Amino acid sequence: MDARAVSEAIHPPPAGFWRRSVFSTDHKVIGRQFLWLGLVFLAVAGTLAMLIRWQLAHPGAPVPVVGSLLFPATGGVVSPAAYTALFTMHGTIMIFFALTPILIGGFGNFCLPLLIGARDMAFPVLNMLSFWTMFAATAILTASFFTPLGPPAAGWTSYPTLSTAVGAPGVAQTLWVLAIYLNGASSVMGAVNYITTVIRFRAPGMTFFRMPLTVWGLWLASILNALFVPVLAAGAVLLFFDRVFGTRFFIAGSAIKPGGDPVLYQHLFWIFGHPEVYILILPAWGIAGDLLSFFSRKPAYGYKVTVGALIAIVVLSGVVYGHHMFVTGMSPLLGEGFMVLTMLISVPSVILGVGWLGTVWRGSIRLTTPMLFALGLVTVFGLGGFTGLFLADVLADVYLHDTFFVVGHFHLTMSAAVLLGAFAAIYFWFPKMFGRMMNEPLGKLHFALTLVTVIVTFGLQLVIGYAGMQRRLADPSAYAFLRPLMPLNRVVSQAAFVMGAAQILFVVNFFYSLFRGPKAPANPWQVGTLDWTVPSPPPHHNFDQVPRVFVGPHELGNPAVKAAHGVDFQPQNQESPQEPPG
Amino acid sequence: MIDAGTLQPALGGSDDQAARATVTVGMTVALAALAMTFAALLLAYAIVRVQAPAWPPPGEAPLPPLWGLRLGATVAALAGSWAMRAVGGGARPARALMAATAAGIAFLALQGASLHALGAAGVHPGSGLAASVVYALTAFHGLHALVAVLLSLASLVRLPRQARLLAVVAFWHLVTIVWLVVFGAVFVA
Repeated sequence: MDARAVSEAIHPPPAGFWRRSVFSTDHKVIGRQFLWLGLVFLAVAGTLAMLIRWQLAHPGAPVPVVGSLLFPATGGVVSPAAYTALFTMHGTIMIFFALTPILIGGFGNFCLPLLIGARDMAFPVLNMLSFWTMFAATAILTASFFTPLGPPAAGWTSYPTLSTAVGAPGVAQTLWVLAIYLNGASSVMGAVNYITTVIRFRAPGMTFFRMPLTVWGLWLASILNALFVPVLAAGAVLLFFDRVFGTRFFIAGSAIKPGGDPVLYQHLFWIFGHPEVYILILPAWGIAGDLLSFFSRKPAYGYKVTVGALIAIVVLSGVVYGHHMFVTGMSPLLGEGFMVLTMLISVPSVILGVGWLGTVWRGSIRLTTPMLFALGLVTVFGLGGFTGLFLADVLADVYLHDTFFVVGHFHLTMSAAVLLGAFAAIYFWFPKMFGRMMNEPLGKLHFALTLVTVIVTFGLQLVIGYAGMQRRLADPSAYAFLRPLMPLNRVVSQAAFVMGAAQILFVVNFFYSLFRGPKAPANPWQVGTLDWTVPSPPPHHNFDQVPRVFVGPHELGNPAVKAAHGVDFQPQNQESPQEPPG
Repeated sequence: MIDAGTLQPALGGSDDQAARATVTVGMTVALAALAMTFAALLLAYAIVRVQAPAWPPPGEAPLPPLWGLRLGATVAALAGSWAMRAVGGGARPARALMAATAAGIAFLALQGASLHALGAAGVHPGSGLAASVVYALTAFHGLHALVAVLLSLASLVRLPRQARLLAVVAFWHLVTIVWLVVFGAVFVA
């Protein structure tokens, strides 16, 4: 046994309830905790989205049923101030407290050690601390809903001057800053663990180029997390100082009193913010890459090229943030530089797309629910990716900036696509996580409704934005030139409501399967990655013996394996069949 | 019962060298993240300073330099790191830790005194941009120095494994290095 395996001794599971289920250091328990937390906040942020869509479809009309409960002061009508708070909290929660915890916290924790053949994360206590830091952040953010002057309302980006003590006098914005800081601390703790675990804890034979694409996506996202979340933290620290101690970093100066620079915050925010969109989508890309191969029953097309494209995107993502700031008075030369760098990202992105299509091409496709969601991700991300070309162009962006075109674009790329990736992951790993199968017909119906409504909702937002409607308007019907767009806005809202209702199918399926689903076998999808070589759910120590890895993650449809073992997949810890002599 | 070893499979086992390599990788990532935080803060300082027509900006009174306190703090930070250097050697880690903790506490006291002296001279965080930079960077760095002191106190109470002790040492050095950069960029330049 090699040195690494010795250092990973088997430990018995802790006995007490608290140590086993609450303050657990087991990556599988922590992964489930992150998943639950993310799903709860996904529901909260989704509900906020429904309220946003109600207001944009029927501005000034009281919200049915829950209106008088949520907005008693206005008789159930969403006031402009409430609307601003709604989209602020929707964005903040979706990005930082729903999608990140589900994909990186949940599946990162659950899958990463299993996929590389490790018994746990490198630093299990730090891992536990990461979850409880995130939990504290969500508690603080939730508290901000109930402050005297109302929830934070400076947008998910919280630009000064809106977010300064002048623009947002309540304590809520300060709580927002604290929550974001703690959220970032949690992400960095996770990143330390993921990066170290992949470097140090791969099973013997698990070379970097034998890692599943899911691991690549999570690992690269963690590198971005470790490097760029701290920049947001710095922005949060300075904003906190400005708000609480009266420093003047983001307070613009005047003739009598010199001051700082509100745009400085935007630099700090977007140096983080652009990598952040890749932090969100990289794990989803990785998952899609694996699932497309698994359910096409053939190896991922151009695996190494795909990995290279992912790395290229990671590198480029750090040097393109200026495209968020084309209209801040940036020097045209600088703007052009950012434009060229941004457009360069389309090259590795297209390589990714070619890899996915090549994987599916002439495969013997099994349209399971996870496969459908992976295909949906590719479709939706493709649509969203193309619209990014327009926004990368300085001239087009001057017109499109701050319109619903931007809203449609980023929802398709880093929200809906990531959400579909999250659903793919849930349907795929649910049997491993909870030991039971989910209901396939219900899952497929959930997929069909979600995909169609996602495309209608965000696709029409592109149209509405192209027609000139700005984002963050509480009442577009107040402007004569936007009034003709109201019917379209109503269609978007109706699609969004159907999307929201369709998620009830998922909730029902999730809870029904959790308690009543058929028991899952060890390898229900018949794939070869290490997570499916252990029982569902895996024992506390994952692997009775640290596996030895012989092949890559996508050894599917090999006739020699079929002849030798009677199945069309080769587990990564199984030696390849001997070539027949001659 | 659960002992620390059970909670830390990565650090458990007999192979100290493997555990050390693992902690080294983790600590490198963590310190890189911390360094990025301070780099971003210094970038913010650089941007406001470059944009100002003069430094301190016109209309702001020059800040009292407080050379005595700040040079003293710098010496204390360097002394702490120098003492920590001996911890890695492993001969008498407790004594080196004690010396480093004392230096760290001296550093915190001197930094606190310099902020107090600023306040006594009528300079507050809101007095202007230059004051904002001094207060924010001193305080945020001070928080990390406090963490460094607490970590070495905790190590004194219960001496951790060599691998983790080295992580504490590395954190100390980073806090010292960041202070040297802040000192040079904010107070000397």
